[in-house]
Amino acid sequence: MKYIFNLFLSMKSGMFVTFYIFFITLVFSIILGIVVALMRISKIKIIRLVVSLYIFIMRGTPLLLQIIFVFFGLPIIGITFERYTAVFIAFILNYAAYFAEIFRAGIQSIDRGQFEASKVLGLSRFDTYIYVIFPQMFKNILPALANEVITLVKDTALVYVVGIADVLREGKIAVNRDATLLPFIVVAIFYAGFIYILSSLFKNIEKRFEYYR
Amino acid sequence: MVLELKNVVKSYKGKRVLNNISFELKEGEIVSIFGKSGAGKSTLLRCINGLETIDKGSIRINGEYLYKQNGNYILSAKGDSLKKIRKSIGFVFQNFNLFPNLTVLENIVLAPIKVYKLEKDIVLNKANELLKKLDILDKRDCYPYELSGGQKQRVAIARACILSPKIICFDEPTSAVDDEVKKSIAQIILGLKEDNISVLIVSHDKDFSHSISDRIINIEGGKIIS
Repeated sequence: MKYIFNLFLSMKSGMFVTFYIFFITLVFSIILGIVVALMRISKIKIIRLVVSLYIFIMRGTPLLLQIIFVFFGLPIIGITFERYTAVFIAFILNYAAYFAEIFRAGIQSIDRGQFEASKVLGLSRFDTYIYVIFPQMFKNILPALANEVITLVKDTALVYVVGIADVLREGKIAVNRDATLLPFIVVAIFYAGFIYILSSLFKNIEKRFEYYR
Repeated sequence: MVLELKNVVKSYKGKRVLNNISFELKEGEIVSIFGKSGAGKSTLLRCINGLETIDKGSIRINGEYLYKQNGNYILSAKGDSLKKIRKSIGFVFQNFNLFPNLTVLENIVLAPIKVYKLEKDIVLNKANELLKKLDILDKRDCYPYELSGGQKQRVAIARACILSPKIICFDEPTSAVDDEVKKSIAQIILGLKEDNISVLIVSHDKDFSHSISDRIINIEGGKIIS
């Protein structure tokens, strides 16, 4: 038991790294995702085309490859990033594409009448989205959003490819050091616990949105 | 005149749905636009409310042009002029289009507070008065899903009335309502007339249109026939 406790303590910094990558990616990819979703439904064809291509590339290639491309590929043409920056660029761009598609579907699921009612009341586009569309969209997309957020937690493990010491890498070091698989179980407990907390949080948010239908 | 339409033409994919529509609406007048499904009456109402653009002609609301013909082009109202027009015209949609995420009161006060920046206390007082008048004050804090069809319609009317418009448009106000609700809608519309608000109704309910209107405009194939 003491060994497991000590393992948790020794993996503390790795847990923090995992959480840090998760949190920063989540915040910025959601913001970027909203912008991309609005561009995806823009009336200007060229904007729609560019954004569609971006989404296709991000969804059509593995995240691991994108991290490798940003960290190891771009320096070939003279663009160099520090490893955390490279990871954040790849993660945020990739997850923003997925979130954008979720947001787009959410916006397009809102009845056209809601936009029309906002228009005849004189609401600006910004006010329409803030007071009418986003609250309704958010309720509709919560299950899909929760899925994606949970996937993000597990995807953070991909940062091993650029040598960042996240919780999985620290677990692997402990396995090699102590010649036991127990550290992997500790890592699994960490991920499962993290995801359990997130799932509960989303369940709570879904309940909060039950106030209307 | 609170509303003037001159030679309004509107086409969809090459098909003319409004063909040289011209009419006027006086202050406090109730006018029904009557016609069969597909006659173009809902499109006409949507054009008057700026939900559709027009191809030719002009639409003037309370002295301001919503659409104005300028050579081969149609100029649309923008900025303050559009704001002024929006304030002078209310629209009660056929399916009400209430915002489901907002309470009855929030639905009514959203535009006056957020768009027109009116003082909150004054707007809330007026909303309460309207709800009382429409007999749904007790539903003030309910969400739209908790209301019956008739109650939703009253909320939509209150939302359209809160900015003291000159005109209120109703799209098929009697579709899918029983006779009792129909009677109460007629009373509300006549009440609006008493307050000197002009009412434009689009309906295919002949009895209803005839019973409350000062004038009926018959429309067929996008043309006014009488």
